[in-house]
Amino acid sequence: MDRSRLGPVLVASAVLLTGIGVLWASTLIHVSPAYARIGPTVFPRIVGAALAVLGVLLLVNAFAGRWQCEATDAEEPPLDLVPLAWVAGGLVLNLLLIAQIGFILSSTLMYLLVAKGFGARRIWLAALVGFILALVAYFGFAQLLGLRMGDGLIEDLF
Amino acid sequence: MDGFVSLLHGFSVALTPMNLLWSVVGVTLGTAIGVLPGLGPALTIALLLPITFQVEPAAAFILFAGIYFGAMFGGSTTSILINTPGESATIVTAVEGHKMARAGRGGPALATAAIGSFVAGTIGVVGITVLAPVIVKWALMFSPADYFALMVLAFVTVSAVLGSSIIRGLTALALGLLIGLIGVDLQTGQARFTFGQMSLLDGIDVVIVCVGLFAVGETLHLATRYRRGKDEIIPIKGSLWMNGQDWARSWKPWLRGAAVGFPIGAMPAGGAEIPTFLSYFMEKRLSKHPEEFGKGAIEGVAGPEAANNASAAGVFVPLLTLGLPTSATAAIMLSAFQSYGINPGPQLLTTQPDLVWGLIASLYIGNVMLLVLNLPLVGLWVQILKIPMPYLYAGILVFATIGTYGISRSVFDLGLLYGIGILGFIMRRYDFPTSPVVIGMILGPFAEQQFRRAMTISQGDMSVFVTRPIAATLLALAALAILLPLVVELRRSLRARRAV
Repeated sequence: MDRSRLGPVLVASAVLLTGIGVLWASTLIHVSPAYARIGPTVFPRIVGAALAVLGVLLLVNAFAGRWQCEATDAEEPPLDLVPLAWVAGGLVLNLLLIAQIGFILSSTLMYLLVAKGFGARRIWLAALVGFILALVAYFGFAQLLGLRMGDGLIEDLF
Repeated sequence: MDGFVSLLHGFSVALTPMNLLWSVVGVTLGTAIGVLPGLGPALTIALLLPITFQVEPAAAFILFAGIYFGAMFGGSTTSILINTPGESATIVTAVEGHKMARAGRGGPALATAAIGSFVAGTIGVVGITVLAPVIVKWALMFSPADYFALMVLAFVTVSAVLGSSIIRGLTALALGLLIGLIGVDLQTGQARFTFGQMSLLDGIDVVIVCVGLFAVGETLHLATRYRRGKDEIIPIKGSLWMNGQDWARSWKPWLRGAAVGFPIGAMPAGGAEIPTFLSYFMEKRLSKHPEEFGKGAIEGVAGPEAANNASAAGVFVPLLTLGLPTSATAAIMLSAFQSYGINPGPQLLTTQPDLVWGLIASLYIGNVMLLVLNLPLVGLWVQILKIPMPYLYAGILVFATIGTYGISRSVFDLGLLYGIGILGFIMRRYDFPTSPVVIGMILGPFAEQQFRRAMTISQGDMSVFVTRPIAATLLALAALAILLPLVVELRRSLRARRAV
């Protein structure tokens, strides 16, 4: 199968599998007899069936090669994976560290990696901007919206 | 004429200094966000949803309305000056407006867009004032079965109208409905699709979904392709003001655009693309200079921009009178209503007159502010486009993180945010529309509630949906809206298969 069809087939299969998964998961919902007729499983079943049917229709489209999008467009260059890896790395690092070292430091690190991914040359400047932005966001945004951002290495200094 | 008395009252609510300040903040923030390609009002309002715990409803909605219209204005600025339509509704503006900018007429293009939006906004506010009480009277007759049918129709049109493929549109809608189902079922207390996760019992927060799809997804998408080339910003040369001929060629398209845009926006289908395209082709046909179209015809900016703004005002009619959001932004406003414990619907106009009419009046005030504040400052807004990309997008992810982590301080939610970001990226790559996800997620629980209410009333008899004339008509329309394009699409796809 050529590259332009593999992607759509995978996406369509994912939709179909989600639909089947939803149908299966709706059988796990406990239904009390009082609500047996129009209980909490009716909508989940409809949604699951819809996803399964749509998945099949998408598969038909995918195999027919009739799925015009960025991923199948021959004129589009292939995915530029290096910047994506930097950005994804930043997100993962943030996920791992935010509870340990706090929002400000963790997000500064993420800022650094994402900026690097988008081609920032002066890393120290990106680090500084990221740190100030996180600091301002932490106090400004959090105060204005009343968000609780939790503790961390920098947060505890104040 | 009751409506206009109420509207005057609305102005008295909206014109307090504090609320005016909220409006200024809203249009300013909205314009700034709208100017940035790929960011829109839905994301901004979602990030600011926690503000609903801090301020009173009127102020919050005045802020949101300012963001909504400001973002639209900012979006057209970007379309005209760098030819990157931020949303599908400004594609047409980009066609003619960017040509005008290249020819050194960026100023008049921006001016006709802004004044046209103002004219259309004015007509839109009058339209809401006249139409809302009428629809409310009609909607009071709706039974739960009729409501359910109406929501089904809105679901179908929203996913069929948006995007290039109805199958992909419906898939996006089904995903949204699925996300909306997660959590404790309010009627029976049963947990659904939570897989034993405590964090999922309350459902997935709309902020996580919006920010994930629109901010994280967009950033990931951009990361994979930004190295292919840069967009060029066309500097605004010459006068910002329109000359006599520009005015003469603009005023009719403004009025016609508004006349097309408002009714389509007010329909339960919504969507701003259709009115903008309609207006564009109408102007092309009526113009005395059809040869200029495609080369920078001012009518081609004036008409669609007015249509876009009028349809954006129209969206408030179903939202305020029926509780029916037909755009992602409207859906997020609905969840803001929920956060205040207010249920939009026919009763809203009588139970919350200050809020509703204050909001409508502030739509108008927002339009005036855009005209007097933003048009003269357009040079300043363009500066936002000069923020280096690495700093901008890294910053967006920091704000996405704070908006999510700040609500719950939960790493699980943050993981969910990034996961939905990946989903948004894939949807973007494979051309699934994202608005149906948000609309399905927010409106889905309401639809289910109405469905079960209808079933309880009819004691489980499904025939209520065909025996009640309103419900039957709406459902028939919905079925038609799915089946017609689906048949066409399937036939084409089978033919293409045979040809291979």
